[in-house]
Amino acid sequence: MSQNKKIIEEIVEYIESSIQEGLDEAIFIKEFRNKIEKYMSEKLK
Amino acid sequence: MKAVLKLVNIGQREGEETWEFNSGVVTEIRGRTAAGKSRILKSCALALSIPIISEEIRNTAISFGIAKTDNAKFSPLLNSNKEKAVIELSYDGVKKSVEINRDGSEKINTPGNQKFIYCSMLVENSKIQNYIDLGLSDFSWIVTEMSLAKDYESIKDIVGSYSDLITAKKEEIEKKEKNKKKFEGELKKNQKELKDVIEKIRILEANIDMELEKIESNTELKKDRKLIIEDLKDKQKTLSDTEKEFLSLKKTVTDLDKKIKENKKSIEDEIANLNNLENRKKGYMALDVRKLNNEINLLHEENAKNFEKQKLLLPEISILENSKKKYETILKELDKTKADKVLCWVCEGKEIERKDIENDLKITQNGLSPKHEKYKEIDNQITENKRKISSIQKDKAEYSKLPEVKKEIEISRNKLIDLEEENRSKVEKKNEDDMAIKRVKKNLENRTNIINQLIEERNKIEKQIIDDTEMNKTREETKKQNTNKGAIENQISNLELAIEECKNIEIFKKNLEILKAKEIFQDFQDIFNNINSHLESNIKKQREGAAHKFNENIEKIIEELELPSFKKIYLDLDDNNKLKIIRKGNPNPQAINSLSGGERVIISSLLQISAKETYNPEIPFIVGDDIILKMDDDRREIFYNYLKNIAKTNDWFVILTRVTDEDLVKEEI
Repeated sequence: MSQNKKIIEEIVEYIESSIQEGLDEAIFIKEFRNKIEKYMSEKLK
Repeated sequence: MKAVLKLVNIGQREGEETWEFNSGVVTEIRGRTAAGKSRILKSCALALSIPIISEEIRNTAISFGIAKTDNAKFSPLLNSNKEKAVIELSYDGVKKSVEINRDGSEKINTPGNQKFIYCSMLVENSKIQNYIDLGLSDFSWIVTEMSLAKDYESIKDIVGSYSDLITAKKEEIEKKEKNKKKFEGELKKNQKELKDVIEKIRILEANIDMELEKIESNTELKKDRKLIIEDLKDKQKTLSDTEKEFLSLKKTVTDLDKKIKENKKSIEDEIANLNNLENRKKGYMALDVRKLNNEINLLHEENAKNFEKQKLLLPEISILENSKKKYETILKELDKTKADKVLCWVCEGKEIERKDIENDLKITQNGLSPKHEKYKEIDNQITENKRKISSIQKDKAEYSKLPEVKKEIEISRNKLIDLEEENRSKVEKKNEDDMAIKRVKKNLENRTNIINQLIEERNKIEKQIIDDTEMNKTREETKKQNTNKGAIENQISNLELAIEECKNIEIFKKNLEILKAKEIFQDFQDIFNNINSHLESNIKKQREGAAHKFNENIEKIIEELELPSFKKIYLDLDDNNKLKIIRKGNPNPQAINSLSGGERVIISSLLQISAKETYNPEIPFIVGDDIILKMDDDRREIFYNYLKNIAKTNDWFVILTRVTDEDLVKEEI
């Protein structure tokens, strides 16, 4: 659960910083996918 | 917090200059017109907003003299004598720098936020100010152009697509689990079926081994049966031919019998005819022609005499008849005259009485009758004689037929001989055929006996032959069961593959074990739900934020500023963020163009600050160029106090310009 919370916080932070810096959708999609895959891999360990 | 603004070749000023500002206070830059106050604000604004992507914001920036037009070769901030200008703004560890070149290129080290132009530049011709000046009340564009709702919505869509992907994967897992359960059930069923089929095949194959031994003896018997059947066929054919022969003979004999009978009848008829002819011949032979001629002559003579007798009688009869006629005529005359007497026709003058005449008539009649009778008797005699003559002549004529009869007798005898000969021949033939029939019948009996023997033999063999229908059934059943076995094995193999397929799920090109994947997907669904809630909340905040903030602020400001004429100023969230102004003493919203110039500046500035607090809070700068020009002293003081308060509360840099008669000067107030 704490791992999920950490992931949520990280993603929210990432979303906020992406928006504040001016959202580039193409970059966001790519990075977001990488993040999700990374989290998923971590969960699989 | 301190901000350092370094300018090189900006505006009319050549060379480098540095300006420092403190946060938490309002800094006023004062000076005469064209002293270079605005370029400081504009430089700050450019460093904090560039790059400006939105066309509309860029147009606004152009109108503020910050950005260059499409036709301009370089930025309006570049000193007209210099090739390059630099703006550097540092604060709180952030360093933003813009290099402006005469060739039109610009270099930026850290991007700013273009919304700064709308939110944080309090200028006379800001878009909000323009709207209010034009009396337009629809401020929904703030949300569209300044809020981050769009960005959050885009991210929500992206997150949503992952959320959808996870949901789809979860559904796929559920389907796979359901299928796995179903396939496992089917597999179990198929495995049981396979076991049953294998057992069936084992039993059937054991039966086949036993039946194979029987098949050998069956083969020999079948061979014998075949030979017998073939023999039987030949014999039956021969029997059939013999039967045909027998029937043909019987028919011939029957026909012969019939013909013999017919011949016998013909012979009998012919004999009768011959007898008749013989009798006739006998009769003809018995006739004496001379005697007949004599008889005829005698009869002719007798008739001649009779004619003479009649000839003698005729005068007497004639006289008597004349007398009779005379008497009858006289009597008629007497009747007519009714006289009793008449003169005598013989004796002149003598009268004769009626009674005498009648008496004479009577005597005459009496005399005439025997004469008539005699004449008639002779006549009859003549007729009878004529008849006899005719009869004798007929007999004479019959006699002339004798040769013909003799000839007929000859013919009849010959015919009779032929018929008897024919009959004899037929009888002989019939006797021969009868013999043949007996022979064929015997033959028929013999053949029938042989056939019966063969049939008996065949039946005996057939009894010995084992019914191989059952054997064939066993083989067919074995074949069927083997096919069935193959199908079940195939089905099992498919099911095993399908079950294997159900054990994993692919995501991001990785194969995850289904139970682990389910757990991870559940976690991610929770994560995405959380992120989605955050995004939805931000979208709502972004959409409604300015209006809320404005409404909160304006209410507070109205109280703080003690704006005597306003009861309430707010953006109506239920009416497309329209600006509503309620003056004291009138509950109905007022038209925007009813505001005074000072009121318009205050309201538009407050609305901009509210938008900044909502949409541009990360940049701690507010710049205002001569915004207080239209305010009266009281409102200016109140407004300044409000700005001071904001600067202090938010630790922002609030930098304002004001036209004075002084040289260019900076002062915190």
